[in-house]
Amino acid sequence: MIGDLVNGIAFGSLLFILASGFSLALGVIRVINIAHGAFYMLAAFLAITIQQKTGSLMLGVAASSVLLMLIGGVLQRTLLQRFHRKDLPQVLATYGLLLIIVESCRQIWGGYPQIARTPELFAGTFRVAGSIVPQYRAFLILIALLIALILWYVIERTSLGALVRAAVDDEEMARSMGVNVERLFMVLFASAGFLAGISGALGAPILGAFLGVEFQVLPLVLVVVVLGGLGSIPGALVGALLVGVIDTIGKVNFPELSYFVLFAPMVLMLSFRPKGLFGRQETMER
Amino acid sequence: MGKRRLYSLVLAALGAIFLAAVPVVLPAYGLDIATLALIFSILAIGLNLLMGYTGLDSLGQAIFFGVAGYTLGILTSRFTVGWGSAALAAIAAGTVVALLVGLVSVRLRGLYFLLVTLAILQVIWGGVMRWGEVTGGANGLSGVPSPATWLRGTVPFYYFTLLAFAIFFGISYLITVSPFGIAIRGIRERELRSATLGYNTYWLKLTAFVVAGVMAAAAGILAASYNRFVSPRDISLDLAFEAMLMVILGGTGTVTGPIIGAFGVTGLRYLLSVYVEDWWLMIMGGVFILSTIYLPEGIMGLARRFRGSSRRVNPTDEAVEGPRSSDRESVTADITEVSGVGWSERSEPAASNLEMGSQPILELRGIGKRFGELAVLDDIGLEIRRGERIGIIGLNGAGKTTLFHVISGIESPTQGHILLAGRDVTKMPAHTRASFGLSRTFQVTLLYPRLTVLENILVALMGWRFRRYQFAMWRRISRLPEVNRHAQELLQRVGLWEIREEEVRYLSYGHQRQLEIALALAGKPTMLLLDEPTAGLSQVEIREMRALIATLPLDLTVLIVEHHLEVIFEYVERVLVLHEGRLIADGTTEETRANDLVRNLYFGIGDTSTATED
Repeated sequence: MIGDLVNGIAFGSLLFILASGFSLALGVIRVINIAHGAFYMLAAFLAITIQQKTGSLMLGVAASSVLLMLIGGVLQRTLLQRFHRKDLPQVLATYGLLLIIVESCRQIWGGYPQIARTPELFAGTFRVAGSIVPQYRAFLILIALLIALILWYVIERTSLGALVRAAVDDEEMARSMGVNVERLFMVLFASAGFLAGISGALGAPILGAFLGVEFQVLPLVLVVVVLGGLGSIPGALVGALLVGVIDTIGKVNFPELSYFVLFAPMVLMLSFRPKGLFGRQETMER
Repeated sequence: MGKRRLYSLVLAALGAIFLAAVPVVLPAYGLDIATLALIFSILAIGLNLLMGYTGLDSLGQAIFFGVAGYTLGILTSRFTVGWGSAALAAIAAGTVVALLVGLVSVRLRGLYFLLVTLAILQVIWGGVMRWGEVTGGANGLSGVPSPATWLRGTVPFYYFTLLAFAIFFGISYLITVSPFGIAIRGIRERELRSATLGYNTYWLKLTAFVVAGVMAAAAGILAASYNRFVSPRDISLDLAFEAMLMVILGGTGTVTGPIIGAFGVTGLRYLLSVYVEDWWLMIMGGVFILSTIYLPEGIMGLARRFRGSSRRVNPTDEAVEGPRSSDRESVTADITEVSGVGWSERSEPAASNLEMGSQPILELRGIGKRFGELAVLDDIGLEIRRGERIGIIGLNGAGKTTLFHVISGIESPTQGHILLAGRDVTKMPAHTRASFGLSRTFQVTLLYPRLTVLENILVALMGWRFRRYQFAMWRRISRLPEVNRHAQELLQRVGLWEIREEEVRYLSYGHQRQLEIALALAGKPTMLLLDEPTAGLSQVEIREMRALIATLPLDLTVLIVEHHLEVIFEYVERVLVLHEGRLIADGTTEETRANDLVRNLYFGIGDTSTATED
């Protein structure tokens, strides 16, 4: 049971890294990035290939995150910026991108599932309260906490974060005060891509890379965001840990119905607190 | 108009002939495409009701398509239920799920609504994938029977589908010209306006959502019966987005657009998957991206531009000028003429609950409103009697508009109570207050820009006075003589009858302000809040507006916020002065003119150091 719990938290940590990028793009730029799951898949495939060639997963993490950072930045600059604040064209365009990325992956890596080897450094296990915990899972939890801390610090404590918060509150005003909102959004979307890249590469030894993984992670990310609140990083952390634990424990105990176990908290949240745990009221009902 | 109507009729006839002749003229694969395209047309027609008419961009249609398909599949293949009963159960299942999803989602708007329908779709899809014991998992379910033995052939099934399509097309057409259709278009344009006119927008949106859900379910049943197979694709994101692409590519908010879109996308998909099997999904991805960039108004929008009725495509030209500005003098004449008759003839007893005895029509008790640390309203208490005309003055930021928002139910106060005719309405939503006879205008004109002048008034009339028609889907709005007569009267009185067919976004600002007042009066309110009716008007237009205000019925209680003091002093008997959220004076116009505090603040006479404006 403790083992399931730790595994759930580790999976939730991975989910947080992925969902934080999605949530960042959603909360600040107001883009629902349907291709976020495809970003994850691309990163996972690339990391595995690099590990196979060089033997180092960390090199794969670096390459994947940088590549997706670039894709994110270019996507925002060339495509999404055209449709700024127009929800529908943005969603359709990111879905088009999803198809293109998924098909590219199929052409390049083929239809066979692949999985990364756990890096030797973290290959061992240790015991917590009588349960065996793989070191790699503990490593994931630490990385997620580190990322949460960095995001919190950047958004709440730095001038870049102040600009971001200003742009969210009143974009026109921020613009007229001389903030280059376009560049700010490009940086943010690049960061969202970067986070998706890290999560895909770090998740490669656990979930692996296969066609369809994009839709395996996307619903979970959506549930995390609905639970945590639109665009909230603390919300994403709490929501991700919750979803990770529920999903893992559910899968072990009643595998066929575990999805509906996730569904219940989401519907309850929507019925009684539609803004989510940490959401801001005015972004919801107007 | 006549010519355009003929044109549409001829096109519709040609379309019908083509659809009827498909099995004869097209090769077998053409019949296959046409059958699927008709099925998807039903899905797209329903989605268009949401996207084009209600303003709900939903990714949820695939849920009801899939739920109905799976219900049919599971019942027929696992439980050997007959097709007819299974199809009924499938429609019921789709409807119930649409109702449940709608209950939690339609109160959300824009991006968040999109996100939530997406999330529910994805979670249900995931459930279908994992619950293989029942749903067949990723492999889907085969063995769905044909509706009847005589429908086994492709040609009979095509006509069966065509019949279903014709029924749903007819329903959707009826809805678009019905009172309900206009009511939901109002919500699409300005939901807040509809709420203050008395619409319970939640129920209207939910109704539209369920109607669209039923159409999706019907399409799902047809698809499962035609393919003899249900798969997770039927409940997938891919289907949701393809349906959206059909609507957008065809032309959102047009009657035939979704059908053109459905044929286009289905045909393209078919051709691509046959001729470029390896790359077709990637090409579809490109189609999605390119069509959002280059075809935002869809094929129908393109056709409109091509036909040269450029007005709708390029709104800026006329919006600047405003049509018939030369008629302005005659409009003024109309109003002055009307003022003799007055608004006050009340043919029917006002259906209001505000006419009780001598108790105040509006009472505020200790109203406070804070935004975080900032107190915008502070301990406001006042009583207003029936038929009083009251001016509210104060500097910018004094809290005047917030006071109106609090009274009309757009914002809730953080403290205190609001009583309308003795009834505590503090916790009641805007539309309930409207139904008690409260009406208002907005400082920034809040009309339905893409509806015509006449349609604006019709929406307003159905908000409260004729609300029995709000959900009517089976009759044309033009066949409601009573409502149309009232609309004509109202428009003639404000002098906008001549331009009733103009879309409101092309009107001059002065005309828009007048229409705003006509909307507020449509429900025969007993109390009217006018928020800066002359803001932004030219001198000529201000004169017209004053004439219009002067003709308001005498028994109507009026609260008016205004910066043009001459308007206030000419019209009201009592003036309230708001300063930094507090009520600092309340008296007759003479008292107010004489009040030193007011002279300081407002006229800049004497010491102005307290009059800091922020």
